[in-house]
Amino acid sequence: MTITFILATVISAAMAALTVAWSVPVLMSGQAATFAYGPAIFSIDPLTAFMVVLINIGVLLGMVYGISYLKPYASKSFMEALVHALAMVALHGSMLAVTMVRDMVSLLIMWEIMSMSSFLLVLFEGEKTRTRRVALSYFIQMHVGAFFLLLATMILAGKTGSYTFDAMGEFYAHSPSWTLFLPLFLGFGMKAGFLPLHTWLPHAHPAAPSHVSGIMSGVMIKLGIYGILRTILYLSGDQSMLGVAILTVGIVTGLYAILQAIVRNDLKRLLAYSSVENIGLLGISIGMAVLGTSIHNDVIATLGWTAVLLHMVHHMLFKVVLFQSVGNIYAATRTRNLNELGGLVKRMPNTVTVFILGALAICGLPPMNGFVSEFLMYAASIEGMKNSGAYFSIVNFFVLITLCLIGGLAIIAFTKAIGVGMLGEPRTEHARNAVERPWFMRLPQQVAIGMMIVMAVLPQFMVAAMSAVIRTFVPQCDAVLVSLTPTLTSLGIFNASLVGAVGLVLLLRKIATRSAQRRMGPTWGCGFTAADARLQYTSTTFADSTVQLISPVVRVHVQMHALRQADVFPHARAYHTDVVDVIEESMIEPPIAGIAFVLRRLAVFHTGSMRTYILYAFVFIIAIAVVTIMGVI
Amino acid sequence: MISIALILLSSVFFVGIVNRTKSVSSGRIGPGFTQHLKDISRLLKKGSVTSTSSSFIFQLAPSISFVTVIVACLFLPFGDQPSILSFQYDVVVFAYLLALGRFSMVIMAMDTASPFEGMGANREALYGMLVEPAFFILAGSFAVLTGHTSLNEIFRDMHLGSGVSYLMAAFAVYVFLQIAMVENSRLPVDDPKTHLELTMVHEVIILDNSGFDLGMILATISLRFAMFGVLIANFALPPMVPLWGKILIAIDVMALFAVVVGLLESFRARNRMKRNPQFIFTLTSIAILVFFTVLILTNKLVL
Repeated sequence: MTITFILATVISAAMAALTVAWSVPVLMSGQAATFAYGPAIFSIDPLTAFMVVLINIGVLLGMVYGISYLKPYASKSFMEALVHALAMVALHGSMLAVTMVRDMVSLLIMWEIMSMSSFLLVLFEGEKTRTRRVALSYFIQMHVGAFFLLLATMILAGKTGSYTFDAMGEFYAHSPSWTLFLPLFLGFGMKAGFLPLHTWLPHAHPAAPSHVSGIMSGVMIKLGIYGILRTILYLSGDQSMLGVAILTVGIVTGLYAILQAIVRNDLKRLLAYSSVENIGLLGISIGMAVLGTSIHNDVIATLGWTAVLLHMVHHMLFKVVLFQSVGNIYAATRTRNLNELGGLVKRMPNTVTVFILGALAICGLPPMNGFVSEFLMYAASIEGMKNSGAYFSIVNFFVLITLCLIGGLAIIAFTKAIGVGMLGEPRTEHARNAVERPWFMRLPQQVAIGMMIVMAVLPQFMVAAMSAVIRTFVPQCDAVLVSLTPTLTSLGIFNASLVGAVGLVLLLRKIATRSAQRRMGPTWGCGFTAADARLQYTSTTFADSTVQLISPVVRVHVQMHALRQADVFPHARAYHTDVVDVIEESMIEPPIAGIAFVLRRLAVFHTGSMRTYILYAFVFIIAIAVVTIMGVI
Repeated sequence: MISIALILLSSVFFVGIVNRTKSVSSGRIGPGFTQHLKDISRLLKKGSVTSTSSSFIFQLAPSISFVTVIVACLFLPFGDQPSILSFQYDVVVFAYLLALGRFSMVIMAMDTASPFEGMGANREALYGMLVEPAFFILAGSFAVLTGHTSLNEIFRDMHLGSGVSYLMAAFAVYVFLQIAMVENSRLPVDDPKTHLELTMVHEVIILDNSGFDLGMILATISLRFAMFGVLIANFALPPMVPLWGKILIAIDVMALFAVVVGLLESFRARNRMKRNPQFIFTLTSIAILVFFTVLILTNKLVL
């Protein structure tokens, strides 16, 4: 098992080294490198180069983690191990290729390989019925997305006679842009997880092994965003309506997903919804950037695109960190249910510290890197409020409210995950017996955290490194970037000095309390006297006050038999809550149930008896004869 | 520079004035004017008891919360006197610093394993989330009004010229006053003098803190009050008045702020827990009024 995976990692590392070597000069010079292979054209322009670096870092972090994460699965057969390792390499390669191709047909092929290989990766624990069902549903949903891409290809080729991306520019110039943009957005948005196409994410991520879910959530869904970015590059003229549309989808996605994250008890599902939330944030930024470009406001456009690109890198890093930390916790406790965890901070201090740092980053709090990209989003929306007419002011006003609501809700979701899952006392034996994972399993997260800290302290260099990419979106961005640099520099210094200030206060505290007496004692008795740690606040109760505020958006099914008056000697009772995704329940499932109903009805024709089928053929022949005689055909 | 000095100075007296107002209005002699200072200095010297359930988070969080408020104060200007730290869009940093403080206090409370503290932590996170939009709408509105994005420039250029703008400023001051009350867990959202854990928000979070950390938390609360005091005072600083005049005005405004807090706490009952979100939403809607007033003032919205 491990050997095959190590080999796969080596192959991936070689692939990464090669593609990064191609990409870095492109990022530095801004000159695209193009090479043809038969009829297909591959090209590395700054956007591709940026994606190549992002993909390689994310995949390698995931694969190095996978080597140690897969140790407990040594019982898997050689074939299973081989399929897993090959699928991993195929996923890596196809993701790289998706960013390099320049025509729709090659894109579809690569997109398909990407979906298929990730499907095989999700299927890793295929002996579980649930995993098989989830993988199948993932497979189907990805093909619904691919169908939209195919539709877009047909529309494009039908109108322009060409499959290349360049034909898109021609198409947009002569036809209403939404006729092509909508199917493309649906196809790419399916992968990215925009509402209401997000329903595969919260199922697929928990089912997949942790190194895979990190890669899928951190890297693969970014390919959906990449597709949308690539499409937008070919847009021209006034696209403000489109900008507002993307922005609205982003707002709805972000708010809905983070509310769902708050009520989830499964750590990985919580993280999956938080990925959807971050896709929402990216959607909001893309919308603002498109709006800024449409009204020829370079400041808004540059801030928006910088926020999009930075947040893509940032989210990739902290999502990999968070999923891998959860992987460590799962490996140590065999559970991801928050209500069965607790007290891990004393048993797995390194993993929990890393998780907390990742959570700080994903909540957009200083001094981590997530703060930098959220800062830029706020900056874009404040600029949008102040620099344009009432309409844009009001649009950006909604963006501002959404950003701070999402920020506040993310704090609730992640303080819940940390507070219930990792702090306090262990709620079950599993959590009590948890031990820290070996260093090799923690290394990838620590490397990622290191990168995040560098990005938090030196954001101006990150933006400078991406300037070629930003220039492809906003050609005249340099003036804005120059004026942005001092702000980013101060932000980095601010982040560093904040940590320094905390250190200083801690030092002073240590000196001041040097002679003071310190004792350990139990937590204050009232409210915590019972020996049972299940008395602690649970994940469900922590979310409850929020749930009450937003009840139509979040539906909680409660199963319990209330005590009746006749029950003089009541016996044990169960209380079970189940949270459902309202969109999945009311928008996705009813039509599917409808189709299934019709198909079941049609199944009466499918009798299984040869005589009936001969009868069908006979009726068909007679029908054909009748229509022919009557001269209909 | 002046604002941080004023904040430090007024934080020393703020709680004293509030307590004095409360005792006078309820006809008691009440604690001495400097009682809270004595409390804090006694706590800073005392030993501490730490819960066996807790971890390093419990040790770190009070310091982080303290630092966030100190650093947030560094961003506050004093009229046209610049602040120590300032860059573009620092209004966002200001709000996010307070959010970081909240984040650390919330997980600190969860660290003790006490269900009471979990309850308080949950409320703190919820109310903090609900109050943020009001702050950001105001900050955004002022950015639109002045055309600037850092606190420094916003308060330097905010001139109150017309009757409409005075009305707007009055609304804004009211919202800031209430945000200060919510952020510092005072009435009507939370009552610092309540003795029942089930109805506490902030007090229940710090149930297990003792000694130096508790002293630091109390100092943080005073500082945060004084910080909002200076923020509010900034509305009342006309640029033509000399510096000493401004300082006098600011001290008056802050004393008034403390008296208002004291009076509010004396004559107002606390909300039922379920009503708190509604109450905080009201702040957001008043902030939206300010925003639309600004749109009209800047001729973006022509009626």
